[in-house]
Amino acid sequence: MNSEFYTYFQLGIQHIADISAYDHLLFVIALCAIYEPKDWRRLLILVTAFTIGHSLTLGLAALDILAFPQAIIEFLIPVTILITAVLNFRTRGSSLYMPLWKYALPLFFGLIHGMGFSNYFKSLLGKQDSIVKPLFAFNLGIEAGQLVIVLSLMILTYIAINIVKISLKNWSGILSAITAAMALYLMWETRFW
Amino acid sequence: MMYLLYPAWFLLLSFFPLPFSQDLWHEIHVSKCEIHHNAQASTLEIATQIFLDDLQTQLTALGAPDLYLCTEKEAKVGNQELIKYLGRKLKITVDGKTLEGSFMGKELSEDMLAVWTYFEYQMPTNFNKINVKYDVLMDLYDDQKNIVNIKIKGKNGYLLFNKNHVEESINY
Repeated sequence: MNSEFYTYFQLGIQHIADISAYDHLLFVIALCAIYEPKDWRRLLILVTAFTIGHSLTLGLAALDILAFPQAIIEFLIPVTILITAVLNFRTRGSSLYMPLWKYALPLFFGLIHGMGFSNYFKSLLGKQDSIVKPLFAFNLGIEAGQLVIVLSLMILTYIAINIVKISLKNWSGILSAITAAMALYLMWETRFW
Repeated sequence: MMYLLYPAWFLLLSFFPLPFSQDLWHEIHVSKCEIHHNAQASTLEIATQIFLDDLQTQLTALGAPDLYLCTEKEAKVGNQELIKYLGRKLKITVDGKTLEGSFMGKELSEDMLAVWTYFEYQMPTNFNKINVKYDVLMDLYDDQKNIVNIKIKGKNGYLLFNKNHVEESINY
């Protein structure tokens, strides 16, 4: 048997690794598409900003402080993926390239993703005396899972740039176009009107 | 030149039938089971938490009618179908002997998304090994995970089950 902490940590990692939770996967790919392995510090900040946003809303909902309309959130999640992917085509020097956008946007999008399954998680923990610890463990697991995705993506990026000799610009363009297309598909599937 | 390819990628992917499209909205699939030992009464008190929509989908797939569990329109066979299903999916074996549980009731979770079902099992006074199998909804979702919380003889621990790992034994 395991501890409660380890169990929910595992649940978090497995949730991210799971292909059926690929909205999360798409977002992380879109977020990291314009970077290469040597930008790892920036990647770490970006992913952590997203996790902080994600944890905040998940926590607020789980503690009954906020409730979110599920159908709209389900639609907004692919919208955040689409915006992130499209913004990857911005040019250096444009105002959308400023640090505020770069870090605040993932944080804000994290807030939306966190709302995505906050209701569900709340229900799961319903009868429990303390939901803070499992929630924290779950979020830590999600962060760890995301870092694994980033690492895998960076290995692919390294291969694409250094071995296949695609330029970073083209590689980013391809990744961003793919994630944007899949986000549009998800938006169509989750339309609430 | 490569820039010309982006719209091509985009178009290609837009029409690509995603392999996982039937189950596109994918909240995390988790069910929970709490097992508490009441040493004085020599019983195991078990509560399972299953999301109502998943449960109905699964029971429908097994041939049950719409049960409207925990509502005013609940079907007469509601409890019967639920007990039959859980009887197959939740198995407690103590020192090699599978226990028979008694259904104690069910209720809707506070947020009305899930149903809690309660069972009581008679336990022998002395036991060494307990095997727990809990694989509800595993036939429905490949990514179904089930958490089992076990509090017996002062040991409080958790098991995390998935499709490839649905039972575990604990020694006392």
